[in-house]
Amino acid sequence: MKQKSVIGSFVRIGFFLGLLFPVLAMSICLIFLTPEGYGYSLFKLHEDFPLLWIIDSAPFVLGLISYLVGTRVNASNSRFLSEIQDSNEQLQNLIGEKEVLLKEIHHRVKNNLQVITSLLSLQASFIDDEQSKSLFRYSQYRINSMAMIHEMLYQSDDIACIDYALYSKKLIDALIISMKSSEHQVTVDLNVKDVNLNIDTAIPLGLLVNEIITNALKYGIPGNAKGTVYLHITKGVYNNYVMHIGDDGVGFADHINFRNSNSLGLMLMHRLVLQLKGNIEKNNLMKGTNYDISFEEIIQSS
Amino acid sequence: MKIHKILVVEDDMIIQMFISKVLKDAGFEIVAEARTSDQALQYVEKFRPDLVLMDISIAGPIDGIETAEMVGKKYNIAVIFITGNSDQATIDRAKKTNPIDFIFKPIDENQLKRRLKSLEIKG
Repeated sequence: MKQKSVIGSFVRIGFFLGLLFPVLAMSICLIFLTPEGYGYSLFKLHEDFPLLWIIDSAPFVLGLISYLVGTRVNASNSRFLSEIQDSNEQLQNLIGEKEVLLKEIHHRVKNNLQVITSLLSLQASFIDDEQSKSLFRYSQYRINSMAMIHEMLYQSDDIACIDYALYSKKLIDALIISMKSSEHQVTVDLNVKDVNLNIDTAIPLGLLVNEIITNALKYGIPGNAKGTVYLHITKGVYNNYVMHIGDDGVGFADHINFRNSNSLGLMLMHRLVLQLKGNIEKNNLMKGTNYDISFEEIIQSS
Repeated sequence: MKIHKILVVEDDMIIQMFISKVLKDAGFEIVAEARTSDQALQYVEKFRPDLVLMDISIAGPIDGIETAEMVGKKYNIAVIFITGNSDQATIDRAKKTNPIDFIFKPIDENQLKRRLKSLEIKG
């Protein structure tokens, strides 16, 4: 509203200045350029030069027209600005509604994923074989790593990205709690700063972190052994990232080729790195099992 | 700590069924299964269980933490919280009610049994 009246005032002031200018010009003529100078009466001047009545009235007529035009311009400007404001409000409302809907979808996806993990738990409880049960359990961890992302998306203000430091912490803590006893001796070395990733990157990366940390807690730091799991992610140029992840546990058996293994976990790791347009290298210089992984933030073209 | 009679408070019927089955198989008695705070308080009064397994987020206006607080104050019954991806603030709020433990979803069958057995041994 304020913007509209400012524009209108400017238009009117402009036209009034235009009106005043000829009046001032005529007064100067009257005082300095007439034969009798200052004493020459205005009435006498008009008597001698009747055309001056027309010249005198012209600025007033022009002023009136200017005022009317100014008011008209102001009104149309106000209407135009009001229409823009209404459109903006409608667009903001639409965006708000879409965000609410998206959050609702993420909430439902997360709930449905949780139902799937519950069904797997229930199904597994009918199985006696421990190895078969563990297959269900590791599937649950994978599903939970995705559920956490949907949960964070509906809880956060930014519907498009999640804070990966927060997510990683939640994921690793949940895995430790699920896989170890409450008196565990596992330390987490987490260094993920200013990494915010979209869902298309966060999900495969979450699954990748889940696989590696699950293996670290299962094989690298078995039972109630003492150990540390690492996760460092640093942002490189453009949308590239470097991740160092692993543990300081007992390490890989020499006969296992991590690139050509029959283990589902290792196969998934390679596939997920490919999905993230990245590369994975095993870091043999460090104690335990460690990987250096590069990856890109995936931007989906819709 | 003697744990025999357990009340399960969980609004997800599948998880409720899973917990009850696992604990029954392990030799515990499930006195009742509740979905809401009101049901939980009613069953606590009626059955006086040794332990309440309480989901933090349950159906109804009162969550599991407030319900546990009421159970603790009025009946002095031990509570174990069940939670799925709760944030730290919620966990901290739950800790103030002095639960004896937390169990995180997805619930691992063996871990659930181990936790309850270890409480019996400790007691």
